[in-house]
Amino acid sequence: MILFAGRPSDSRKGLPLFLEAVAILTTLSKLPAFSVWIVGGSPREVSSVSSLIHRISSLHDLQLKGRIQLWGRVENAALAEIYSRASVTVVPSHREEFGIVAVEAMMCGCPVVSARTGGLEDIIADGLTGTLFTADDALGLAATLTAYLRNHHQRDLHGESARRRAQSYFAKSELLTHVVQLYDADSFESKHSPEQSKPNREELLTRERMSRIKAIVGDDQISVNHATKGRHPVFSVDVGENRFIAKFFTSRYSLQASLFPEIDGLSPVRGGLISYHRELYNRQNPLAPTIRFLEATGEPLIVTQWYRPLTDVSDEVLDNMISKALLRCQSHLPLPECETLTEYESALKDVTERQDSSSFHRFDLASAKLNLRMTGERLTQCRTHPQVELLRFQILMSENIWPLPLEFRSRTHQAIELLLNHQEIIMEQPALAHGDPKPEHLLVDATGEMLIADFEHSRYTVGPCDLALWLTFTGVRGRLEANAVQVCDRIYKHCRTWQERYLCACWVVSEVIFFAVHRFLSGERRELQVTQNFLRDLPFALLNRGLIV
Amino acid sequence: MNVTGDPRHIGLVCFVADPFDPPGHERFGGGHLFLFDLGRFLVTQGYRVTQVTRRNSSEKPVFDQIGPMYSIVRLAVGPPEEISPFNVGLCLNELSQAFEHTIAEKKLEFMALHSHYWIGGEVVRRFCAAHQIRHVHSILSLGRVNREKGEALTASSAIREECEVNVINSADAVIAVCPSELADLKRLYPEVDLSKVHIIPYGVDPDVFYPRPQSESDFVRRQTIRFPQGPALIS
Repeated sequence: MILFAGRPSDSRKGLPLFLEAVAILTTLSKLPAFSVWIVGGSPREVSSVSSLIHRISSLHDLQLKGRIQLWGRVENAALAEIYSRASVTVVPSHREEFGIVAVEAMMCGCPVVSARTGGLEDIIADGLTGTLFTADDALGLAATLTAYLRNHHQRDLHGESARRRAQSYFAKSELLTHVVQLYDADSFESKHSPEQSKPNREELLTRERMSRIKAIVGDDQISVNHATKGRHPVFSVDVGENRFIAKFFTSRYSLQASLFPEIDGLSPVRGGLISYHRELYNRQNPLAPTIRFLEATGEPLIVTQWYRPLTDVSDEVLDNMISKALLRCQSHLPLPECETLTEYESALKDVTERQDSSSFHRFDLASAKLNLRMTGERLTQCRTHPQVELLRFQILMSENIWPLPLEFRSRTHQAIELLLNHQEIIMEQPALAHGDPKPEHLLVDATGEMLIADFEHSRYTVGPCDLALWLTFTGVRGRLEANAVQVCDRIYKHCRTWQERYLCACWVVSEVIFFAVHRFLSGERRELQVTQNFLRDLPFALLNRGLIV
Repeated sequence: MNVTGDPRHIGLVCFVADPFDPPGHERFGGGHLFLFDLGRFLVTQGYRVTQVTRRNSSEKPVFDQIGPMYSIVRLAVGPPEEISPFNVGLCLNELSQAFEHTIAEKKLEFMALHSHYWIGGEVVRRFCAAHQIRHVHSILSLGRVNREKGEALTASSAIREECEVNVINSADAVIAVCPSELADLKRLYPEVDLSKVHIIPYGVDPDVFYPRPQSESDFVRRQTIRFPQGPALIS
């Protein structure tokens, strides 16, 4: 159930925008059934909302089926019950000084999708307790809602984080006590500065994590610091002259599961033990940092040796180093000839010939089985073959499963068609890939050899997937002026054969589309434009560089 | 400023929200809830509380002694009906005079006056300029932010912005509800003194708002008993 709670007649609250987004949802295919509850308003307001719904036929149909319900104003206790039932609470305000509805919903363990405006930006930890979308963007709101409707683990994880955050920062009696302190001239000055009261990011180095690091490293006299820019619980640990990196593997939801229709049998979760096992699987990988300690119980923890980050290297040298390193990774732990591989090859033929949802389902399961040994026997959705991924996007976009802008759809369609029409599906055995090579993962050992941290996304893939990921990360993502010619030059230079170059180009296109759609479903529109610009120029660049004839 | 007057008496002043108007419909929202919650909390902490608001209904009394520690004064300024904050702003001088008169008439003494929104802020600022009373002000919204978001200029826009600057500069403490509000203040009001601004968000009671267990039978019961009106049936 999608919930709107607020005063319907207040134009700042954005109810018409919400209804527009719901109308967009009704046009999408392969979306789980959903209902909409609108809570708040006097009888007069409820009646005017009802008139508004009557004027939009798709919403009127939804209401006739009992899937839109208008509750009017309810008491707080009932409101808490309604928040608890909601999959997601929407706060589509055009303008909002604070947004108490968001806090109430979060307290009840309900994730919040809200416009990026005013206090809502401070209340919601974007991507952690809910999602912020661009204010006044109905398409963007509809897109973020599809992710919550498709992936219940996204709802559950965001909901639980939301509850914790609300309890930490917005408990009423504590805040009112701060107000009362202001009435007393002598007591408040030193007690409550703006910085102290600012809701900041979640505390990563919890007492429990600290004590586990101490216990596993076996030394009380250690210094522990957060080691990444993001919100991942990764810490540098100094013990005397030794330094380690301690990483906790938290449970996260699968991005694929939020993007694509649910696939029976595949886990919509990632992180946690799945990532832990991927790291262990790569323990002997020549590119992996040396593991010093590990612990699978509770929130899995791995402590590795610390290595110097790779810095001060020119882009060209870095490209050379990484392409060689990724080749080494590809030759590590090849898949044995076995029934699983045979099943995969058969599923690949099937998906090529039939291109329907059951053949994709079979292919995804067969791909997941290739990776079973590295995921701790858990079946997870893994993008394995770049042409299949392009085919998947082509079909799902034609089926209108995401509310994507028309220009984005036409650009992606053009690029995919160009690549797929050019070449039959390539039957090649998948090889090991790191799965997430990016600059902050590059390390150097004492002998000057390159290592790559974080094997938690590793999987078996066809073609130079890692190189393509590296190229998109360093040449496309976030760049409105991404240069397609430069990306194609780099493909040409670092791939040895025509087939490798072609597969690399397919991976690049698949990856930029995936990332753009994922960001859009996470409330960010900019990456759609980045990808549109890149795909506009790509066909010329591919042709000019002879990557397709 | 030194505290004088009744050391346990707090005045909560807001002319655009009567705390006894139930939130969740028309223009009754989070601000009303906050005033209600704050008043109740203060009483539990042993303070005497006088809420001062504008009389927005002819059915409401001008003075109401809710309990031994809590009273509400409704100034009879403007029409006795709910009007927009913009129209309340046009009554600023009358509200100020009525406030002075009522406080004097009832011989009220305060430890602190806590104003909400620029209209309450300006009335309290004028009052505190002549009396030694601590002034705490809650911003609630800012005129220049509204204009930046496309709100049209009104007759009271210039007065509002001037009052906002004066109130924030003269109050002993100012409350912004979130870092974004403080950032807006920094960005759009370079002439105000930010050293007294404290960020204190609105709070929610975790004993009321917590994940409730669900069961189909409970839902039916609640739908028919607890929400007697049920969802609106639209044909």
